[in-house]
Amino acid sequence: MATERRRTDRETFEREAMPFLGSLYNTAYRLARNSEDAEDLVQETFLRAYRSFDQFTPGTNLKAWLFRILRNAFINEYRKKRAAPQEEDFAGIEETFESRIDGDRVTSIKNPEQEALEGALDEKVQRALDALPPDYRMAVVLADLEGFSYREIADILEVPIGTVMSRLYRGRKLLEEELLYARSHNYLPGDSEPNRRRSRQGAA
Amino acid sequence: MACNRVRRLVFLWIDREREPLPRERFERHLEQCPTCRERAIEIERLVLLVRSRCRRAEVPDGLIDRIRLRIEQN
Repeated sequence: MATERRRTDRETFEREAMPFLGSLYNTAYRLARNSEDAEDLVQETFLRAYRSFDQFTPGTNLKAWLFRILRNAFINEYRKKRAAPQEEDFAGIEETFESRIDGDRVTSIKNPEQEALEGALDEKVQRALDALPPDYRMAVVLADLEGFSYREIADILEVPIGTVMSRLYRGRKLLEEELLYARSHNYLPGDSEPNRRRSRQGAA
Repeated sequence: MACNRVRRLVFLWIDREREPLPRERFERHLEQCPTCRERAIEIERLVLLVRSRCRRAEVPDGLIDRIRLRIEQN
């Protein structure tokens, strides 16, 4: 009897949760920044989701529920892998980014059509996004790549809406700075000074 | 509505969030203030860049099956 019910639950779970695989993988990829870790993260997410599926209230936002599990799985993995020196690096990166945000001075982003003609725009934007600190990156990915509302993002990240707004605000400003800074200093986004400082090899 | 408040609200406007955006006053300010309007356009461009330029990562072949297997083995 128990086996019967478990099989049904698995079918139900797969039918309901699998449609979100693409979105979950896409976000996992943006978080983990490589396909191997992204796959591990997604597998872990589905496993945890399946195990706690009885805690999900049918009719409520399944996508947000799954994304919350993804985010928690990412934080767990990220904390495990992070050694002390790396932690300092991230703090260093954040500080450098922050110090480059010069109030609200008006700067201009080149016309996207022009950028497209030069090519490599996709790569630039993606690299700049990947270079964001994880908290900001996650907020931007959820808002701009997955189309979640502020309310949903707040549920997923388990933070107040005000925090969501501030992370989006700062994340996008950092993104803008990274794209502009990279262009004016003539290198690819993501290869900014902190990385250079870490690797002693010359210009990227 | 003061410019510094408008700058903070731009993201709400771009993200089509309702609360707590005083839409009418916001849009009226944009009509009257070229600096803020220019800034709003820039930010809109940036957000559109991210939305349109980050290619969807392709789900690796067989991932669905690997997930199913793990669930089965659970």
